[in-house]
Amino acid sequence: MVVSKSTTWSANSTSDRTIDWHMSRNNIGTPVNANLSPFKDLPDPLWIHIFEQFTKSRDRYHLVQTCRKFYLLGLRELYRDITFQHMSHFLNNISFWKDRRDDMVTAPRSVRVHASLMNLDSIGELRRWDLASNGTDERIVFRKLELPPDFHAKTGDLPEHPRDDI
Amino acid sequence: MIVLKTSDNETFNVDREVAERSVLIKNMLDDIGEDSDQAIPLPNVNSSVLKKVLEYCEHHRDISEWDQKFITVDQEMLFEIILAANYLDIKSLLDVGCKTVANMIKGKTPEEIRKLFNIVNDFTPEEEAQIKKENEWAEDR
Repeated sequence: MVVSKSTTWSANSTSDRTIDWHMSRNNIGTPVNANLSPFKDLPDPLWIHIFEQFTKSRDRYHLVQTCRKFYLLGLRELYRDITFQHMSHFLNNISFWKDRRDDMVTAPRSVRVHASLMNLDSIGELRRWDLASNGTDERIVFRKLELPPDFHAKTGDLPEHPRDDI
Repeated sequence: MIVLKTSDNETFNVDREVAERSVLIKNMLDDIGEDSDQAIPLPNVNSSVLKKVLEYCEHHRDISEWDQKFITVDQEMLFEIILAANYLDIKSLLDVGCKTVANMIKGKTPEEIRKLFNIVNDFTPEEEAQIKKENEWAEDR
């Protein structure tokens, strides 16, 4: 990867990326951090490369929470591997996918859902179509799944007995 | 240290960092969780092969001791090294630099990361609340 050093960091630097979603909704797409120092001049692709080094979602999440710039740069990376362990987390995430105009649905490589969040019929169906396999400790792992836009609408119906006590 | 169990039922105690050169093992470790001392079964590798493979992984650690010592510099120099490695297209050096920045960030709260890089929080309180709500799942892992 070769990236030319940009000496000034401008709001345009992320405009080519497909992750400037939500802009119409809440203006998260307008970065203002000009005094990031001395890393302020690090080109965006190198920040993305740094994002790729994390093995835990938590670390990516903490970085995207810091400011708009990192939110825009890191969101795709954050959504590469998704794990839902609690029903409330899953439900709170639904709004993230609503009315998106970007291609964020192509970001996830794997989606893990705690088995207790799904009913047996839907688990059996997923396995039959080879879409999912058993993870350890009762997690269901969807294989490199490209999420359809209505993924959350569909899976939102799956749990018969939503529980949040796991 | 983690435990690997081969097809011929031999067990190996390995540094987590060394074992995680294998994406398969890394994913399995993620699945069983941090504190488990469960042995990782590797039914498709026998002990003589694993011994050889581990030797390779040991040599090609994530960041070797030498790299670590080399890259112990102030932020300004680290940043310049990353830019130079990128410009000169030296992938291994670029990786060491970016991994080092990632290691500086790991385990820190958003506020601690802001302090580290002089980042100004430019979210509105509403946006912050929304991001926290939608991405709560990520705090788990």
